[in-house]
Amino acid sequence: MAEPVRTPALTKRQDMLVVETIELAKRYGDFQALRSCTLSVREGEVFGLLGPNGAGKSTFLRMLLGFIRPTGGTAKILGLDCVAQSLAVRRKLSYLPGDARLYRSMRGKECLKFFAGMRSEGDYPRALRTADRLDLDLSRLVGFMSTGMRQKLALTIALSMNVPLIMLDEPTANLDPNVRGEMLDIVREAKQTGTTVVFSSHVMSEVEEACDRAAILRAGEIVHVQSMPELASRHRIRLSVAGPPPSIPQEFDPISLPAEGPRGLAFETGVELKRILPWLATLSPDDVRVEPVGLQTVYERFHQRKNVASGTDALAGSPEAGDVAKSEAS
Amino acid sequence: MIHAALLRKNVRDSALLWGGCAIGLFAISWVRVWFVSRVEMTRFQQIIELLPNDWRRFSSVDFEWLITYTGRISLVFDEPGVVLCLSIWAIARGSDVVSGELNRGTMEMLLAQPVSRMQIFFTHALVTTVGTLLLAALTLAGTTCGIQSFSVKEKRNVSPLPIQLPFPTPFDRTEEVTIPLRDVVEPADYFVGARNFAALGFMLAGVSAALSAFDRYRWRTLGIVVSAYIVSLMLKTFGLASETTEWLGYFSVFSAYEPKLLVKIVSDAPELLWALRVDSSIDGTNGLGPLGFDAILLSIGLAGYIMGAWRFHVRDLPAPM
Repeated sequence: MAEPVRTPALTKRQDMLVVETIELAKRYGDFQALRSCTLSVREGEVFGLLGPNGAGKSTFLRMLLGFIRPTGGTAKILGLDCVAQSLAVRRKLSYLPGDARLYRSMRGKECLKFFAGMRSEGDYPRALRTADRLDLDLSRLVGFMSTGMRQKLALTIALSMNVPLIMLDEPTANLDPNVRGEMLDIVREAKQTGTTVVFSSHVMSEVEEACDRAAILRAGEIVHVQSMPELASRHRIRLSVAGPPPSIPQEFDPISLPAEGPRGLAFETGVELKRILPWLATLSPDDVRVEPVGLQTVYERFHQRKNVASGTDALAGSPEAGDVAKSEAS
Repeated sequence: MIHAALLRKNVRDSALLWGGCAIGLFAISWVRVWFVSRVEMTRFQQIIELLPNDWRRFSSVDFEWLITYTGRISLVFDEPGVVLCLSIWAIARGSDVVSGELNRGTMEMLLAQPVSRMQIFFTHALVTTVGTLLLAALTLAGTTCGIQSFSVKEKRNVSPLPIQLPFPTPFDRTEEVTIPLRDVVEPADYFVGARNFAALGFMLAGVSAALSAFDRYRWRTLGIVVSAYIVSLMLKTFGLASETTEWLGYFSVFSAYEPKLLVKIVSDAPELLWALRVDSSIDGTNGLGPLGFDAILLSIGLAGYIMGAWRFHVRDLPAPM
């Protein structure tokens, strides 16, 4: 069974819900594309959606836009129903599809002008500035642009609207590292102006870097919501001692990990390091390693990597195996 | 309901196709009239007379009427090139509205904007309909230009006597005279043909739009529409072929496309131009007036648009392939 989804309590400042879904579900015949997704995203938050292909990230975003009708539950954006008030919802947001295709017969500039003209919130001068930041050649026909250039153009369109919510479906796919960095900067700037950003990605590092929280999806279900500040305070500690391994104080709220060797000890904790280090010093360890827990580790608790050649779990015997086992058991 | 930016985009997207069809239709109809003016009536009569009597069944009007200038020019609306140009325009445009955008993958970006599905659908339909009307008008304009600019040569008996007698005399000699076509043909008679032609375009566009709204691949929509088009043509042909298969004609939408019959009705009785029903004794009408023929085509087209709009409104949009 999946871990129950924990949504941290809302602060007074961030009590405005921009995205709110309750038990949102989508079924195609026998296939359950999305099941009971309950999620809330607050104003000014950068929220990530993680999951392998087919987990339901794009389906979730497309349901918010009204492209797909839910078979269960409700979805609201800024209090507006995503099905009944789809047009009003789309006035409040800009969206970059996972596979953004644009009109091949238009030039880059014409494309920006067309999409800016599609809505009153469109801002053509801002679109030109964004294109400049992303180093985009607007004189070229879309049909003659490379995949990366087309992605940049679509990203420019999505990022140049004056709207309270930006939704990006795998925005950095096909982008070079420089543009990827620039895109993340734009997302951060948007956050500073109070814009809410929801984006899906396969790149853990960028989600970790840019997001305040991230939801992990598995087979159409939100199995975990991770707060990034909370993640930053979690560490993995591995040590080896001369004698038999000591027991870990319960005040550290430890999660045991498989140890390396008979004299080894390994655990994960969310307690501040300044409280742990004095205890470590009393053990006189031969060797100590303190590592931050990355989003990748959290992700792999829910999505085990498979060894394609042998079909076995590549994590078997690794420190993550314990986490996975624990997660699965729970 | 109509979105200005979408309207501009639709006009821009369709301009090349419309331009090609417009030139084609104007040129073909103009050349058709020129052809009528070049081939002498007696020769045309000989050609018609060579046709087996059974072939008369395939014509909705008497062959005798077809041997008039009005009749010969009315065939412009049955010219394969003319019907093809309009069909290409209507089917290409109609099939593009939903499955075209889905096939190209551009629907996602478009619908991510604050524009309703109905705005997308009906803005597209408006451009297609106006384009169809203009194409029909250009066909009529080409025909009218031809009538105004060409002349026909006719052989007439001229009596050398100072008094023209109402009967031929042995002293008469044959003289070739040139008569402007506008003196023997009334261009306004073809308005009813052009109207029927426009209604055909509207019907094809509406049916294509309906099928487009159900599909995600444009090539498949085109395939289905063209297949239905061919089947409908065959049904009409089988319906005309014999009395026993006449009922098949009722299942063909092309049974309501009879421009030359309508031109004949209106040239005989101009007051019937806007008639929904006529005396059922008029051959080939089954009591249906010129407007009745158009109404059938327009109703099918409208039903197609309404069905397509409903389907597009309620359907889930598939992710781009």
